[in-house]
Amino acid sequence: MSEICIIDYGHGNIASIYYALHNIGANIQVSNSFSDIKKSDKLILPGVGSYRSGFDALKKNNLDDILTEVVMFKKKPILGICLGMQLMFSHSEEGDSEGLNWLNGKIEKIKVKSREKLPHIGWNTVTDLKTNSIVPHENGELLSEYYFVHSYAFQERNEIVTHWCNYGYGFAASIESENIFGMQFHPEKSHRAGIKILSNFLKL
Amino acid sequence: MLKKRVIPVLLSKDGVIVRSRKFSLHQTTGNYLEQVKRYIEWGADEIIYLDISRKNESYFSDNYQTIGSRTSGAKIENITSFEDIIRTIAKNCDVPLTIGGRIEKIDDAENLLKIGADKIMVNSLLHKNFPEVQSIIYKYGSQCVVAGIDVKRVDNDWRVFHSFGKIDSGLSINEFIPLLENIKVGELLIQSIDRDGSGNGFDLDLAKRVQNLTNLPIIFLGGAGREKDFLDLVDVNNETAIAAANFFHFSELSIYKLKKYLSSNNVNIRII
Repeated sequence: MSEICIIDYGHGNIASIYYALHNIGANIQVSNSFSDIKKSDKLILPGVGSYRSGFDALKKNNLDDILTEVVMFKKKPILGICLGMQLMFSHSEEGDSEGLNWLNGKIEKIKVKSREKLPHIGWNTVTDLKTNSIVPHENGELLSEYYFVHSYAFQERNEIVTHWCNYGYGFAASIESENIFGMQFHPEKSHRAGIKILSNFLKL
Repeated sequence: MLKKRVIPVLLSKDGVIVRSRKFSLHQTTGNYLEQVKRYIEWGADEIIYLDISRKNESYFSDNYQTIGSRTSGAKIENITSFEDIIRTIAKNCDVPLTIGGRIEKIDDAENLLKIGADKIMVNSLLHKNFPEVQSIIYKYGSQCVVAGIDVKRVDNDWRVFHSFGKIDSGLSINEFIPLLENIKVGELLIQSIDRDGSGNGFDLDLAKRVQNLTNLPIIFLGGAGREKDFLDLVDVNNETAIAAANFFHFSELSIYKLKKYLSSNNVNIRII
């Protein structure tokens, strides 16, 4: 069976992702070593906390170079979750930090219209812009809501954005670009709809 | 559109789930794992698990042996500590899980996050060691720290209490919340001690008071006794998440039915 590696750089809710994958029968590694990352078939880049400390932690473990090689050159499928997705972009306003730069664009604080609270916490609906290969539909309808918790997001509606969330002026809820998948929400904490995403990613 | 969150709270004392009244009377109720699974099936948007044990764990380790046999007969294996409980719940929890109680230093928070908490709730620590809370937020981010605020009505104001509602901090809720905003906690869990376990409805004056006090997300707890109480809360403050402990515990499909009820009254809710 194919093996999935959760990248451990000290900034993820690793236990939650591990349990969710374990419950759907995945063969899981939790690691930050080059050999584990190289030999696994798929990767998950988790992430909670601040952008700068997250990116610094990746760099400290040389994970920026290792991951760039397996993702950008070896084209291994990777799923970035929350901060993990944000780190795939070039830059973030949060801590004025550079990112992995696999995807063009910058992460900015969510622009709110009036009374919307930040962080954006809770279950929100998302809108289909394009098909995402791992986000499930039932009878052509997008499945329910997903759980978000964040203050920053990618707010440009460009060609890699597959789902849009209308909070404030709106932001990317999911992205897909070749072998790179990203979810701003937490599939591992989004009950059935979210677990389905993880299981679709496993089946890729 | 962002849905209103409905959050059941489980109270654990000396290793067993209890119901609480005015922070003092506690009755044993049942099996936490079965309860968590049911809540999630019924559509709980998150789970909050609070440990309110007063004593050191060594005094009640025997209780762990009996967990699971109490209501359903489904025995849970290998529970010998608080951490085992959290791990067991986390494994079965595909919605966000907040753990509170007994967090005295950053290592405690780290440990809980490592075994499966998505967020931690601090309460007394805010009063006893504020810098430690700042360190937790700095290291793990605002999104994983919920500040617990227990309040009692005193002289037409709301005073913040801590240490199981026993110690008066001397601060009013108006004075306390800005301090929490400064250190960037992620959310507030505001609980009315007067209403705890009463079933007399939420403290609506308090709900009105906190509405314009902060831009932080608020979870409101204490007093729910009927479905209508939740609607009354939404009517005076449509921004808070709504939480309850006893109310959800004692009736079959409680969360599912409440969500149907709220939804039919035009509250924007996640129905599964």
